[in-house]
Amino acid sequence: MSQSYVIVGDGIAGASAAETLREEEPDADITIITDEGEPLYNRILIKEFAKGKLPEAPISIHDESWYDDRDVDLVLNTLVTDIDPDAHTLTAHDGTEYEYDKLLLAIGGTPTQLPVENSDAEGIHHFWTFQDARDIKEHIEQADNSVVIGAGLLGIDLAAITAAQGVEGKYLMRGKAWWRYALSQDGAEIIHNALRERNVEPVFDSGVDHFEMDDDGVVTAAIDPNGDRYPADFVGIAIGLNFNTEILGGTDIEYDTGIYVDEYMRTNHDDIFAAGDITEFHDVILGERAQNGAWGSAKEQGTIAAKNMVDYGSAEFRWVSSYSITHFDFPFLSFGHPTLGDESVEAKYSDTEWRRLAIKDGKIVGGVLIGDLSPQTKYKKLMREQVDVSGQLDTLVKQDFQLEDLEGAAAEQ
Amino acid sequence: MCYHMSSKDEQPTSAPDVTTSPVVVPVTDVPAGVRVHHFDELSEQTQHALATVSHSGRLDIDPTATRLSRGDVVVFTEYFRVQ
Ligand SMILES: Cc1cc2nc3c(=O)[nH]c(=O)nc-3n(C[C@H](O)[C@H](O)[C@H](O)COP(=O)(O)OP(=O)(O)OC[C@H]3O[C@@H](n4cnc5c(N)ncnc54)[C@H](O)[C@@H]3O)c2cc1C
Repeated sequence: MSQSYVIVGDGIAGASAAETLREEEPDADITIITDEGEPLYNRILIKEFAKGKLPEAPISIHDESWYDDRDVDLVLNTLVTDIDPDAHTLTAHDGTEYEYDKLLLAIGGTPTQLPVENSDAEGIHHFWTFQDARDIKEHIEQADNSVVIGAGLLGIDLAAITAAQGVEGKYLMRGKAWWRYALSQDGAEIIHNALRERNVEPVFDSGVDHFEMDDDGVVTAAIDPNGDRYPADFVGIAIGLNFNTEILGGTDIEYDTGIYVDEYMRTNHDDIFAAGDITEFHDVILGERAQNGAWGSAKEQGTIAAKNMVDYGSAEFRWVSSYSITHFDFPFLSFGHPTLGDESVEAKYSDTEWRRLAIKDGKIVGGVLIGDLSPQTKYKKLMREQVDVSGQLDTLVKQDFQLEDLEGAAAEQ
Repeated sequence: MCYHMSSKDEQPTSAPDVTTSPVVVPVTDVPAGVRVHHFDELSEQTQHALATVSHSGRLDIDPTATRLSRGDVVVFTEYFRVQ
């Protein structure tokens, strides 16, 4: 009898798992259920669409024929609300029940709402889906002034969209630097200057106390905790993600912020796996639980999960994740876990060139490169191979660092 | 040591039609029918080649080991079209 596989979520993790499952098991029954109304699209390009730089067509990755051609059942507009691990069944919002032999949860996250007064006013946007991007684009094209909140990798996308659409903006941040957990003031200043050049003004030691709106419920301004008022008819918020763990309630599947999986993407249930942003996976490089929020990692986890659903233990997730910013004329790339570590080393080489490496127990665990990405492969190799670089941190940030510059055991890489 | 970094980004949907190393040129317009990749979708090798590309635009990469095909556009610090 052929196996039946059910995948919840048709993002990059779910879709890459379906592709691998079909390659590995030509006769299996494969179903993908998603609450979105469209099949897999390129989530990391929707910002370019919202900027007005890309048409809709290249954002789509799969059309429905992709699933037909592979004999994969695609179920759109369907929210899974319950899982019964003992009965091996799922229930959807409309009461439909789905049976599975093996289940993959590739359910990602949902943007966190700002818990302040009037945060549901019209004109306030969060950013995760293609539909969000369409709404943002339509609105920003008519907007006069904007406020963006959330000094991280998604917030800067919103700021870049307002800039690309020629809308003057204020970017309200807590603290004194953009992504202050990964960048020092020196590194962040490069980003601040690039934003200012694009008519987006970073506002430090700020945030939002509440929003003002007009009689029609449309946002008119953000008021920060200092009482300063920033008029805006467009507001973008990106303060983090809530992972979609509600459907685990009532089950004994282990999770915290994300679903706990081992390095084979399996949960504490033999027949239930998880992949993508939703996982808190055992990171074999860090030696502890970690969570990634990046396209490449989600795709790889989907592939690895599928292989292990077919043959448990056949493929291990060993991966250095990376995430870049493509909004400026200089490149930016973060890799690994740049906000972790017990020490760090950094160097600035010019007004647009800077590097910082996060070190834990003498090993690289992440970093941020601005302006020159050429050392990426070397740093990632050292991280992947868990090379002890203690005592050689200054060597690591020499501008033209080569692996041969390292001494001792590290030199054998 | 080689881990799970595959030598290809993934199987291209069409066979790469470049037999010499790809050359990239900056573009501003993207027609609807073109395949577009974000930098983060590319393999470490292809990313490295793009990040270190010389003025000639020729990528220092094995044309059979990249998912980039002629006509594709890559979103990086600019939009680049693969020639
Ligand atoms: C605007 C934006 C820009 C980004 N830019 C970059 C970038 O430049 N580089 C990078 O590497 N990463 C970037 N990311 C992050 C990257 O997109 C994610 O890490 C990746 O898409 C995660 O894929 P996933 O499949 O795990 O989750 P998702 O893509 O979130 O897919 C999960 C799917 O499951 C569905 N779902 C959830 N619960 C249920 C349920 N109960 N029933 C049915 N369906 C359900 C959701 O609707 C969703 O479609 C960006 C993300 C966003 C939003």
